[in-house]
Amino acid sequence: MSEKWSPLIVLVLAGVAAILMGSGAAWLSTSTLIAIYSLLALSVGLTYGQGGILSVAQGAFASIGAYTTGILTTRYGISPFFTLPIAVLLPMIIAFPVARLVSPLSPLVLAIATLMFATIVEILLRSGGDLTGGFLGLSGIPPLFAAQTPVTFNLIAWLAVVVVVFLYTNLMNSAWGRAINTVRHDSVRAVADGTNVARIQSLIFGLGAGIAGLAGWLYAHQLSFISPDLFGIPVSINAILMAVVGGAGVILGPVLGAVTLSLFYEFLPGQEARGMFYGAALILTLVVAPSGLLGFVRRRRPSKRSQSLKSASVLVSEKAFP
Amino acid sequence: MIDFIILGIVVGISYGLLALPLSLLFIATGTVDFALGAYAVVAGLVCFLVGGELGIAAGVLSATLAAGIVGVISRLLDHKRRADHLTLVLASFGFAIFLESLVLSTYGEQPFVRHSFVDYWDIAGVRVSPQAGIDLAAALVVLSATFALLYATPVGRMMRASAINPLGAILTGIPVQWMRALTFVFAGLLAGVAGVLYLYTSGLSYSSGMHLALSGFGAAIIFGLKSPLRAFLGGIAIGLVEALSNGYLPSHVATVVPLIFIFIVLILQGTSRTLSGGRA
Amino acid sequence: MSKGISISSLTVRFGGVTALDNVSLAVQKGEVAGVIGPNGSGKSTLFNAISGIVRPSSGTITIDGLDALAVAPEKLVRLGLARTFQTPRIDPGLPAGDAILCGFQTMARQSIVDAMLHLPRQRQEEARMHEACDSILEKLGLKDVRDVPLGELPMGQVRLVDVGRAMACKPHYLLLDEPAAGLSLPEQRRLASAIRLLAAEGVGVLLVEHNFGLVGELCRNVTVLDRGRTLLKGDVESVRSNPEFLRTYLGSHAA
Repeated sequence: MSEKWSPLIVLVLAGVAAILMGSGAAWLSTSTLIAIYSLLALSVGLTYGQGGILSVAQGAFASIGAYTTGILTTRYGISPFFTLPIAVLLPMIIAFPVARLVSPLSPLVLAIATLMFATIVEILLRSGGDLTGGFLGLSGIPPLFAAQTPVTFNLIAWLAVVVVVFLYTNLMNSAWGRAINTVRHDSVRAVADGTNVARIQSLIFGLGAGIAGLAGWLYAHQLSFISPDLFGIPVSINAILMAVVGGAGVILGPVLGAVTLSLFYEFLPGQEARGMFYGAALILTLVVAPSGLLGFVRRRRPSKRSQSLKSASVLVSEKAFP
Repeated sequence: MIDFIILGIVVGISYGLLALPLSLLFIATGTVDFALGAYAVVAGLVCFLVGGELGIAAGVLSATLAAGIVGVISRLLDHKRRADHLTLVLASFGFAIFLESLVLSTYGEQPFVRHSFVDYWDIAGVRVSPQAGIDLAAALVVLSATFALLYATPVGRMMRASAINPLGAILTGIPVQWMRALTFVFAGLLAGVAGVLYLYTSGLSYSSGMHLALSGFGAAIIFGLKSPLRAFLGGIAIGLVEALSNGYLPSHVATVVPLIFIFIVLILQGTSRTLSGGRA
Repeated sequence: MSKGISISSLTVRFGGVTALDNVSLAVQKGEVAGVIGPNGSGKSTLFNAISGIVRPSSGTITIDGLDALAVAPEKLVRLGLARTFQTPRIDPGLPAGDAILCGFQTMARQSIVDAMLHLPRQRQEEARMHEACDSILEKLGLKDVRDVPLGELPMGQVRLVDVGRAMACKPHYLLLDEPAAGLSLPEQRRLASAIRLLAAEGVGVLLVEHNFGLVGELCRNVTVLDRGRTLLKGDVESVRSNPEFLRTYLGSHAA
């Protein structure tokens, strides 16, 4: 049981450290960016790590969140705090029917369908004319409140991560979490448990979209400017990379991945070579440790019970899994 | 209307060129190599830089070698128990990004193209470069070659067996894992050929890879991922959709129509599968 | 409304193979009905058809008067039909206790918001489920391995976990697919008494087994399948002494 609380504890510590260390503006904006990427990676962690659905569209959902708040604040003067629930809910509302459409597809085709969806969203945003600012995007997005400083925004961003991890941890420890994991492993087994597989898949996809929308909302208010390619497909792929490297199946994995990779990027030579790093990192992780950093660590520690079972050499019939 | 159709077919031939290796790979291994578009770009770049006949050979060779890397990765992943179906696909994604960045770092953002024809044909009032004819001829050659390979050779039989029933294939002595790796390499070779042709048709740039792979996959799947012929025809179909929507719809809507078309086809294929499959 | 599972003229075909041919069978509440037959006789297909994983080509299946073929498989579970699998479908990393907890899915009333916010109502429901899970573990003698991942347990215990998972949702009908395979003798005893207890509580059990001893002990009536067809049907004694049955099973009746 105590293991279930450790994600939250570690996260709070990390958040505090980030805030304490950050006095320089450059570090603060990096820290905020890491928080936002953590959310995107968590979105992948939930959808793919727990739900088994590989979606390359999380960036697109973040875009929807960003544009929602961008449009509502600049064109209609609505306060950012009121746009927050909409920025989270609108991606979810769009995600549910999309999930229903794509969940019968095989995993590979599903991933490609999400890729198509993401491209469609990007093109629609680019051609939105006056509403979305076209390919130039929207600027002049107001801060969250008048006295917003990089320090306070950093705090809010990390608070968002903490809240999401809290909800995520609780979800996975409940009957819902068990159903989600069963659906990922074996949908026939899930059906035999009485689970409506399609409903669970839509749910997971929707929640992931909501988290991505939150990330978009934050980014819009930090940068005060958004454009259609801000959360394009490379960002979605980056999010997948962070989740996979950190350990998509472990709750804190994506956050670890986001932190590690973002810190690495800081020391990388140039913009152009980034893709080579992303690609190599993804391939290396998949070949060496497909369950990511945290997944690897977790598998190294066998359960205490099994150790005592092994030492007591009882007459054991064939093992269930060699 | 006829001019858009001609245009659509010309563009469609281009899409079909990459759809061929994509479908071949899927038929023989059940997976997709996302880096196929990137191999085409690499082949095009190498051909561009080297130039001449040697350039063409060098281009195709470089694409084949690049695909060889994914072949190696697939063998490495074969030994991993924790890898799921998507692992190789994700890895190919990673490789595609790697290659894209490699091209960007070495050559830059500029597109690269070569034109070997100055005169144009006039087909029903449309200016068509003779290059299109070469593309079509090449596509037909590749098509017949892949058909021959898959359906008339023992190697092809083994490939198809490995895809339909991997376990059964292993039990009958087919080296399934090697077949798979080799198929990746062969698909890479075909992508290299496509890349060289693209260089001479409409040119390429560092970012073309992903778009090509996506359209190629879309083309391959429209009529069902069942045969290279269908994939090629799928390419033509997408070309037609694109040309017609460019002709009759405002430009910003036109770019999105082919994608929506592919998306809808994917969904419909998925739903029809569940309906015919019954309750389960 | 007639009670019980009633299967009538069930035929299931896959491509060119007829896995089940005109099979009829009934299970009443509180009864343990047996189905035996060699491998390939269609026992698992029968289960798959009842639980909705496979669609029959012809025939009817009714559960308490309800047409089972018109109901989605997960809905059938919610209506009170539970099953185990011949090869347990499991996640090797999942501890035994958590696996059984998964069986309480149909009884969970917590909304997703309750779960995410860990509200008291959800906490209480989880506590109740854990308690009920512990009692099932106790009943099946699995208390000691509650926290052991399934991948590290011997097959016999994995099978027992599967049975526990099916029992969790308090089903009206339970389909057990060769639950005793690989079980040690004390484990078989425990399984037998659990089944007897369930039947006494009014659960209708359909038991598919290779192990004729267990079938003989628990069932009054048994159906013998052979290559998809019903070979024999009747009470255990008459089947056991039937010459055709002995011929089919010559040399292969399991201890």
